[in-house]
Amino acid sequence: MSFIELSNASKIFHAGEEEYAALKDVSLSIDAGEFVAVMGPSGSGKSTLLSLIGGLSRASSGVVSIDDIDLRSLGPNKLSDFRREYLGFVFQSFYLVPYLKAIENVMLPLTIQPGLNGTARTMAMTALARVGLAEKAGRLPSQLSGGEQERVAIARALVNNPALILADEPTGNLDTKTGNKVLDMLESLHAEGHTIVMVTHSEENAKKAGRTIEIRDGEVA
Amino acid sequence: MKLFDISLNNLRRKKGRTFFLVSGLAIGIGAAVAMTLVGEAMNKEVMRALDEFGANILVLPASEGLPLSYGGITVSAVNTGGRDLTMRDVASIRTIKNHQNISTIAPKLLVQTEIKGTKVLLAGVDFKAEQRLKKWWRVAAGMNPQESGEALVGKDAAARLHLAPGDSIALAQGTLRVSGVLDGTGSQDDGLIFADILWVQKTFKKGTSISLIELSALCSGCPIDDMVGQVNSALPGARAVAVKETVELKMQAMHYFHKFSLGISALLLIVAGMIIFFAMTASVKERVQEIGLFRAIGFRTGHIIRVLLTEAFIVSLLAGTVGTILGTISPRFVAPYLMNAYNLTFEFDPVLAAGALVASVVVGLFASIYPAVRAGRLDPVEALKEL
Repeated sequence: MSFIELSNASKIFHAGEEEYAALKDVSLSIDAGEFVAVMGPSGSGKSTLLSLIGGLSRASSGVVSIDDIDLRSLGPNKLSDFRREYLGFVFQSFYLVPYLKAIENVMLPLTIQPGLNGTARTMAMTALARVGLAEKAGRLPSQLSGGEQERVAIARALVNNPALILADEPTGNLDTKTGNKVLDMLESLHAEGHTIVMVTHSEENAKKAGRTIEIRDGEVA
Repeated sequence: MKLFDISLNNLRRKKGRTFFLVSGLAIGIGAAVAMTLVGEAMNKEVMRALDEFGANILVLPASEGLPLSYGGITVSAVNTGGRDLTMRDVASIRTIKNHQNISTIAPKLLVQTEIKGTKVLLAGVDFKAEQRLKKWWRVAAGMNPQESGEALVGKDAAARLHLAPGDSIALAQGTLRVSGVLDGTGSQDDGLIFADILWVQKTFKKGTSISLIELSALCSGCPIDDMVGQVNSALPGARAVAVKETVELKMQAMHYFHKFSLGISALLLIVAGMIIFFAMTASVKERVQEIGLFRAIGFRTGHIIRVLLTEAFIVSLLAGTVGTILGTISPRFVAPYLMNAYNLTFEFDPVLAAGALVASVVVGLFASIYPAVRAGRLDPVEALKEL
């Protein structure tokens, strides 16, 4: 069985009495250690696919399983624990907490991880060093450039060494040069064995991935 | 970094918002503490003033005798058994356990006499003590007696006997000179003639006998019934009674002030709670994406609630401390100007301070529960709109 399995997964949103199917009977599988790009036009359902894989929302029907864990079977707290243990998110808008320094932002996933006993700061510094920002650990997000903020977000995503990194348009808010650096980082994480699923509009970016899944009108094209 | 640090950092780095929140609650708590302190101080002041206003304990001979009315109270004018009260009893009263609560001791000797063929009641009094006790006395004509052998005449007695300041009153036993006429009081005093108690004792050959003793006790600090018991123990053969109406009036006044300050304090705490509620709700709204991120990286609902309630706890503890200090200090400076209350004394009350801190934390946490729970239940996809 693959690391990520979707079988006839659908996501239907309700707006009053109207229904809108963002994903329709999607079946796909991604093996552990793959770097997969998800492409498609705006509103095609690729971000919804990412949220299902990331356990941020539940499929209306069908099965979504990660590492043989059926996400539908997890209660709210177990689903939170699953995200903490398995996932690292990289968002287009970075979502750094403005009142926390770079190192504190990176430490965020570790604050709720039991048994670290004071090693959290070292782990966060290591993650920041990996993205080349060790010397800016004490800065607030407002004191960092867009590229630096994205690198902090990547450090936060990998600080707890997750098996799966989900990146939603990670270069969307960056210039080409900085965007390429971020992609290089994702490539190196992939080389280390992380499974990476990246949503992108850019074919150039998609070329960095080993495989591309095309989504159109809520279905795998 | 722990969850507590997230809360603390948010408060530390959003100084303006934190200042607003702390100020809002601190003003509420401070005002409530100040109200309570002012209420307590006013209470004490009113009690003190009321304590000095009229007698609240009456000491009579225990014996049965012919009834004689004085101030609405039946007094034995002629003792038929037992013993008379004497000036020595006045000294004994000063030895009771709660003697510090006694404000005024006013002994009286009541004798019947005849002036111009009319029977009148002559009251021998200690004028200084009497005037302390009866602050409502006003000399309408003439002046207060300056020496022994001078009398103050009640308004009705003066009219009936056609007496005016400077007149002489010829009694069978001696002569009194009218030094002044009292303004009407609407009480028994209007029909009496007051003379120095030592003069009356000597002139009427009463030795050191007295008919009754009126006591003004500062009963705010002790139960009046205790003092009555102590006087009864100190004066065997005498009978001390509490003038219940006076005591009840004082207790009622105290009760009203207490209720008033409690009501205002509760109102202020409700307003402070509403400030916290709206500020926390606005804060949650402002931090939707941040909360969405927390959820995305694995924070449970309980973790989010804990972060927000910790913020509320820190804010309310700080506000409680600041508010208690402000509320304790401010009345000393503000009360004299706002209330013309120069005589009020404000004391630090550790129970009130602890209560204010607890109230602040309870109000802060209670007002934050709903916004915190709502935040904890935020749908991360809705919160992080780009997903």
